[in-house]
Amino acid sequence: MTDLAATLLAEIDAAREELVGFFQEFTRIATPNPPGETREAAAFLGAFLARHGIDHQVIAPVPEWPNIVADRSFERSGRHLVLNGHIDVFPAGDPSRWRHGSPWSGSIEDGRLYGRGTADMKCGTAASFIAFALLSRHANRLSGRLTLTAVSDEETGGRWGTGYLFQHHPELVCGDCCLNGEPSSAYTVRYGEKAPLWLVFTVKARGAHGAYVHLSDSATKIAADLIERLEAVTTLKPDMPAAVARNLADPVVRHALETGLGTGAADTVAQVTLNIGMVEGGLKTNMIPSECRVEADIRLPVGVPKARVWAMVREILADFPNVSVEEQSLPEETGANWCDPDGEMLRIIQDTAERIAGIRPAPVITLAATDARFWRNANIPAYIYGCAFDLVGTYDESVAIEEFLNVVRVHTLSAAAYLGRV
Amino acid sequence: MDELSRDVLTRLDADRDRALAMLRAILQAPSPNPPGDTRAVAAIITQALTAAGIEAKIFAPHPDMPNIVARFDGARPGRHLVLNGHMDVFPVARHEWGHDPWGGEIADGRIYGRGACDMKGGLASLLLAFLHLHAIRDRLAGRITFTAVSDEETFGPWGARWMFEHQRALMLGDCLLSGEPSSPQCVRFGEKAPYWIAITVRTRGGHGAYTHASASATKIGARIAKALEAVKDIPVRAPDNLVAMFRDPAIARQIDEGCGAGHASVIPEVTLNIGRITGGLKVNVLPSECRVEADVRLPIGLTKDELRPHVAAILADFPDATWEEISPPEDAPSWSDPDGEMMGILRRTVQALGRPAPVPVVTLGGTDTRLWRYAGVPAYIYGLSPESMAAADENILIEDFFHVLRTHTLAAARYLNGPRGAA
Repeated sequence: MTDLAATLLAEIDAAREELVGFFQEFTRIATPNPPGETREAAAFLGAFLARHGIDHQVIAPVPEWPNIVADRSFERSGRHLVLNGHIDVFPAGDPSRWRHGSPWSGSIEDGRLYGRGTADMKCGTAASFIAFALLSRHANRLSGRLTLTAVSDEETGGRWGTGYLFQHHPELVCGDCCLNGEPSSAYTVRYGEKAPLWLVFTVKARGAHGAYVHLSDSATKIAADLIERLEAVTTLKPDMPAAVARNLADPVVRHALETGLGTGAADTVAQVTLNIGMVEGGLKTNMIPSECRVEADIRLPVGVPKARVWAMVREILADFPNVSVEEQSLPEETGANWCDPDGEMLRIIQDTAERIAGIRPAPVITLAATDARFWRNANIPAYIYGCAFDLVGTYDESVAIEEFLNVVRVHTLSAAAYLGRV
Repeated sequence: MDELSRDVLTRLDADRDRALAMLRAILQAPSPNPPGDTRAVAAIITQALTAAGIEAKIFAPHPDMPNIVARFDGARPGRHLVLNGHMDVFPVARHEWGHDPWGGEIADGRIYGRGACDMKGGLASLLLAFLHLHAIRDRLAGRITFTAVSDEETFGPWGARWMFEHQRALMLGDCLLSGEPSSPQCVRFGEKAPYWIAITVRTRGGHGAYTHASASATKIGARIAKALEAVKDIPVRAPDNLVAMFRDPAIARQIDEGCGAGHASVIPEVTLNIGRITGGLKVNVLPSECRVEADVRLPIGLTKDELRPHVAAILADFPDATWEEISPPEDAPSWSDPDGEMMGILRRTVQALGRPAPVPVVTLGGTDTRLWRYAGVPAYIYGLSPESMAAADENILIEDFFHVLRTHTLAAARYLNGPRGAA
């Protein structure tokens, strides 16, 4: 262990109560999205930076959804690392179902901190702030540049958050690497994600009395046929880069995926999947439906670009003259995103995590989307390491205090290692 | 044509203006169901009966949905004919109409309005027939009962069903004649029965990207919708005379002319409509629930008890699904003798009026006539063209209305006077 690493670990231990308090207070400020109002939380995060003598700017294209950026160049030139997290969280659901009477209690019970967004991803965002503050104290021992970005509008697509920063402030975010604390569990570090292709199909027919089946096609029956035919997209074989194919075949990686994401996940990662998220057709039992809506959620693995799926969907739709389709996902995303599964920062995170938590995280591609995709789509490596994700979105969402501190340690030391080795 | 028939036709000819005025007045009294308020129509009918000196008994278990019964006896004992029509009509999507749906507007030999064919035209015809026959009751045998009910369009509980439960004796007779739309080319002697089931699929559900973690309720729902198509192949054992009739190309042609292309082919078939499929909350959530509503129609020759095990066997392949029947349990395909006496009277009467003899046909949907058939009373429907039924700008040919009125009046008189009158 380097001197700097030992110093940082000692500082984290010494500040333990303050750090847990910061995470706890952050949790207590409600930031559900929708509606996504994060101004109070942003002010709280800004005050944390100010307390540590750090300047920041607020970039708020939508006043209710501010983004916070702190940027620090070190004296010696070197690489540019960007830390990224989000402030907004999932909606809280029914408050009465939370064990402490509120989704925003921040209550600590049996060593766990409870609340909506603790895992996704106030734990990781807090870790980014803490890492930035700690490294700022040791500027003379680092080189290059460190940028902290905490955004709003992640849960609903990122147009006014990270997406906005890439469009309007590329100098801040287009660094050499991105580190993100989205939940990953201590068993994995995430280097890529499948891409969503969301399609809304509308079936139209004339409609008629339900007994007069000779008078009209049935929108629901056509929809049932369409759903069956769409299953064909799951047979598309990915054409993967060698490094990703190797990674996905690695028994350690497969085991990590099956353990973390459930039995079958190792195959799911490498396949096109089809979820029929919604079907809505017909008004009454005894009427032949004139309309049916089908919402399909297709997930593309590395090696199956969106264009290939579109081509197949169009071929299928040639047999369905009464069906129209439109894309609900972002058309500019052309497929899965990934970076080097053998990259330098990935090794740093693995080594650091193994030393801190005793578990060497396996590099994996994940199924759900995060803002890390903006970096990967810009050809900038982006890695995710954070707390466990299995309680995300549940009424028991919580993070173990020790787990939170480990995420803080891994982020701080990994960032230091990345910026310290020149 | 016998003397009585000729006299009846003379009376009807002399009375055309009043008949058309009565039809218009009934069309101008809105009675859409839902909500099913028929009081305005009932008031016109009651007034017409009272003016003729006939007592109108009103039964209104629901205050907005009265049912009317009136009757008289002929000069000598004989058989009892019941006439039935309903006063409620389909609702109106006003913006789709070019004509005022409650205007009774006349243009190009047609009269427009919601209910013109289903079934205010038939109802006005039965009422007028009843009044004319009352005027010549000293030349008739037997008894004739006129019934005008509410709450038919939704098969609600306050109309004919209530009357059968609470005033059964008043509703029954030896034969029923209904004026529901049949097309003047057809007589409806039976109807298919609805068999509705609701299937609920429940799975664990989850995140839309984690397709390995749970079965999908919507995909299973779609598979069930397709698997149910097998009900169409269930063998149907219809009586031989009906089978022969359905296979007769001449009859099929006339049915399709009157009731719309394809009608004849659907009569003997088990049909399946998937009325609704609803499942899922959001595109990216793997659905944990999906509901499928299937609308099966049983032809004559297949009972629910015969169908049910087939449905159960199909659905047994889907352990995540539960199902229940949601159609009225008492409904069953119903039919009267297609060679019955009233059928013959109607055929000969129409022919005598210079039109082709109507062919026997089965109704695909449901009408109140089934209640008489369940009670063992032969029931036949003769009425206007169903072409614009339930559609915007519903209308009928005014000459068809007069034709149906002549047919109803003559057929009723011939039935009451027995084989002698029908000769």
